Amino acid sequence: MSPVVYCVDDDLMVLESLQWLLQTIKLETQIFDDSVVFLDNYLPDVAACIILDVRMPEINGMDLHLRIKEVDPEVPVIIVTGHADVKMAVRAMKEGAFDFIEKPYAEQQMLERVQAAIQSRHTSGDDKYNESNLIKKFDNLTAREKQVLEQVLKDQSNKLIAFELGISKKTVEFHRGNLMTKLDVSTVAELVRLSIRAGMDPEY
Amino acid sequence: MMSLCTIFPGCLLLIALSFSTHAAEITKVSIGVLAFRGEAVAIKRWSATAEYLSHRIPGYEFEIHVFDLESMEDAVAERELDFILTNPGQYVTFEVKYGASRMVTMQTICGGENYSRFGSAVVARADRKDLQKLADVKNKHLMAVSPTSFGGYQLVWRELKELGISPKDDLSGLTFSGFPQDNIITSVLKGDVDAGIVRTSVVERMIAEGKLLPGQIKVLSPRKSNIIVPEHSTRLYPEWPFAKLKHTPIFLAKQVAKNLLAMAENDPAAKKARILGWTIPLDYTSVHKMLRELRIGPYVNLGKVSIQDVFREHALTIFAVMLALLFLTVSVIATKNANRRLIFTRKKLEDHRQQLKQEVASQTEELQQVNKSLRKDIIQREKAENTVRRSRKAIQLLYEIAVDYDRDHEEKLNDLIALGRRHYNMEAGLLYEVGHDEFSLCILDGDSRYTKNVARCLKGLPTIDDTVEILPEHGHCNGRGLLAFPVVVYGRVCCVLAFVGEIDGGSHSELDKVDKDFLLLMASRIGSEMEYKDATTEKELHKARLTSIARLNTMGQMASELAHELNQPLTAAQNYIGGGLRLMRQGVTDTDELLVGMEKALEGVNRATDVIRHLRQIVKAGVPSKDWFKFNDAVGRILELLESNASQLKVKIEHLSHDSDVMLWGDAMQIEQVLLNLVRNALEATPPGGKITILTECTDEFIRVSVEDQGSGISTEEGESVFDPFYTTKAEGLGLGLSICRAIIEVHDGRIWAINTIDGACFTFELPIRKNGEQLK
Repeated sequence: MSPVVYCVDDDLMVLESLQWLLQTIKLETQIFDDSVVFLDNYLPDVAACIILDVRMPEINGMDLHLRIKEVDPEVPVIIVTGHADVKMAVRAMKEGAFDFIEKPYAEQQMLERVQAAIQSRHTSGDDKYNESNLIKKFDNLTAREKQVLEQVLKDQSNKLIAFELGISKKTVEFHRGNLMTKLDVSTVAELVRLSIRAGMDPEY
Repeated sequence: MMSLCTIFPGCLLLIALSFSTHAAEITKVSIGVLAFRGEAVAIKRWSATAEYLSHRIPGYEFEIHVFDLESMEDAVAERELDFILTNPGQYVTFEVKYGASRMVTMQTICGGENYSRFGSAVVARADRKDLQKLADVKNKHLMAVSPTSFGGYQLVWRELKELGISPKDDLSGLTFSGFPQDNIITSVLKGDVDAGIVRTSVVERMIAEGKLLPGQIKVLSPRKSNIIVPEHSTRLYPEWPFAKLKHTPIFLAKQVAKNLLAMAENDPAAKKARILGWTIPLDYTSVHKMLRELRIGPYVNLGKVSIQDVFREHALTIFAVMLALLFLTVSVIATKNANRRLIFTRKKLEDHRQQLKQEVASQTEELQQVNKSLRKDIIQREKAENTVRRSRKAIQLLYEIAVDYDRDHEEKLNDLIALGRRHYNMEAGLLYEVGHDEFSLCILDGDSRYTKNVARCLKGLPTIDDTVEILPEHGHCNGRGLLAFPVVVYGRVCCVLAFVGEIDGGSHSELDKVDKDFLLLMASRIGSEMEYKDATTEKELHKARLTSIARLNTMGQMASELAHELNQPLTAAQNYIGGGLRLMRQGVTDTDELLVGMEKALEGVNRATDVIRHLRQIVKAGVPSKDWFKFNDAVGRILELLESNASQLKVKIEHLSHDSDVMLWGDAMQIEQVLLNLVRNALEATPPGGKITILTECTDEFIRVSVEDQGSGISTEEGESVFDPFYTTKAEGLGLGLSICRAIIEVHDGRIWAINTIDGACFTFELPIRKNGEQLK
């Protein structure tokens, strides 16, 4: 039985496009434009991966994620949002989301993450983000970059970080860009996800 | 020691020799002898002994003088005698009275036995059965020698007395026969008397002389002692002693004693005396005891006042006395106890008194302390009362100034400062405005000399958050004291109220806290005045601040919503395009499939473009530029804008206005936006041929604008939520329109609501307006 990816989003247009995209790599997809309907029909251990949009009426993606975890704690869930902030990303990751992806995303990234998620359902590891690799990556950061990272994880704006560390805003932006490159991430959500996996504990 | 011992006998000898040579003629020594059986008998009996002594002791001639008991005592008292030989009773009497002391005791002979003790025997005829014991003599007739006879009466008397028998009262008769005692035996035998008293050995002698047959006479209560003595009824006493008198020379007495002791029993002198010689002096204590009991001899006086006698004769009195004594004793004990208690109580009382004294002392001290502090309190209170009285007056004046509407702001400030200065007798009252780096004077009351110094002084202070007092000693203000108070306007110290006062007045430096509090109150009142003055401007500033905050919120919310709205179609488009590219790279040549993807992608991009178009309008609405505008002009522009659209949809738009010249304060563009939104919604809702009515009503306070359509109306579930962002019933709507409308209306202090009419829905908003007079301002 080939793995089934479940997608939940109230926007049918997005939903269909996602289905279309996933079909290009021969993934079977089930789409739901209503979170309540989805939850009512959900069967544990059937889904290989679930993609949730945060912004939905009735039950939003964050809450739906929790409800799914209640009945099926092992299923990998990718949370997608158009308006991500650090707080939300931290919360999602702490609550056990497989990943947190910000819209709009490169379709390549989405496909990779979905495949990784399906993989993790069978093998508990994640090759790209295995821990020794991660720690190596974080070790490459300079002391200043680590300081900036800590502040970013606290959901501080660049202006505030500059104030806290006593450096200019431009310098903060420079360090921030550098650390994102070093860690090979492009979004804040990804940054949060990696940091949590690397053992950091951001507070919000 | 040795020499003394040897010399002493020598001396003694010498004295003896000198004595003897001196009395070479012969010294006569008188020996008094008690003659109890007549003088002749006595002389006959003892003269041999006198010869014996005279013979043995050279230089002395011993003579026997016989006496009866009375005459013997006379002779002894007259010191006529050197030695005496008498019965133990009389000897003891002399021992006590005249210092006689026994030297040897006679040893008598009886039945060939030798003994030195004797007693008395109470005898009765052997056939008298009723007389067995001594006690049996009670109520019997008794015969004795004489009342003074020792062996012939007194010894028995003692025994009877101990048995409780008084010879005087308890006998039927007591006859004294005198000597010889043989007569008594004879009388007993004859039956003249029931019993008789004789000395021991009389019976035995008479039997030995043949005057009496053994068994004719018996002894009552016969005693047998360890010493061999004939039967007797009494205790035994020592025999007659040979005694010296007080004045008798000792050496002579010694010679006599030595020679008497040396007298052999067969010596002629002993034979003549019918004794067995002499022995060492015996103990006469028993005799003393006997005489004491009988109260005779030396104890005759004692006997008279004997306790027993007194007791017997005065039993009642004694009893009474005893009782009295007992009572007294008890009383004494009781008294003693009472006394002890009294002493104890007195001691306790003393302690109490001491304690009380201390207490009183400490309380007095305490009281004095209290008094002192009370006095202090009174002074302070008086001072406080004075202050309060002054302050009350000042506060009243302050109040009068504060509520006086005839005075304008400047006047009030001037008057307040003047009040403070005058009331506390200050030289100058000053109000400074606190600048960035300096204090600039606003108001001055009184002396103008201090303005610069005070400003300099205030500048030197770190902060002026509370009352500041600078004493004249610091010399800041021309030798005057300075009081400064913060004037707080909107939570910030924007001015400083200062008072400068003279030293000699004295009042300023002694200003009480109450006074200072009053001045502080005045400062806060000045602050209030300033706040009041700025109220209008401040109110508007405040509102503007609120408005901008509200707008910011609205815009932030909008941005978030817009981001979402843009993200959705763009994400979709991206998915299609990305997926399509992937398929193409994979070499998929199914153009139909790719075509579907591309069309969908375009759809998404179009939708995003739509959003962007909406965004422009929203951003436009967000720019605040408030001004006065004529409301009807705004309506006109909207109608113009929508005219073609309306005609296309075949909907008629009607505008009914009551006041064509009403002016509004606000952002004309935003109000137009609201109208535009409402009318466009109405157009979309109203079916072709329908009509939209725009109604403008004016009251004194507000303008009310309604947009009525003829559509399907608002469903009950929708209700107020039509104004929520992204609420939409339209297929292509963003759902932002009404949300933005409400935000704009609320920013303009108005309100917006929706109701259903008979024909359809009616959206109404109200905005506050201003009068012509205000508009001009």
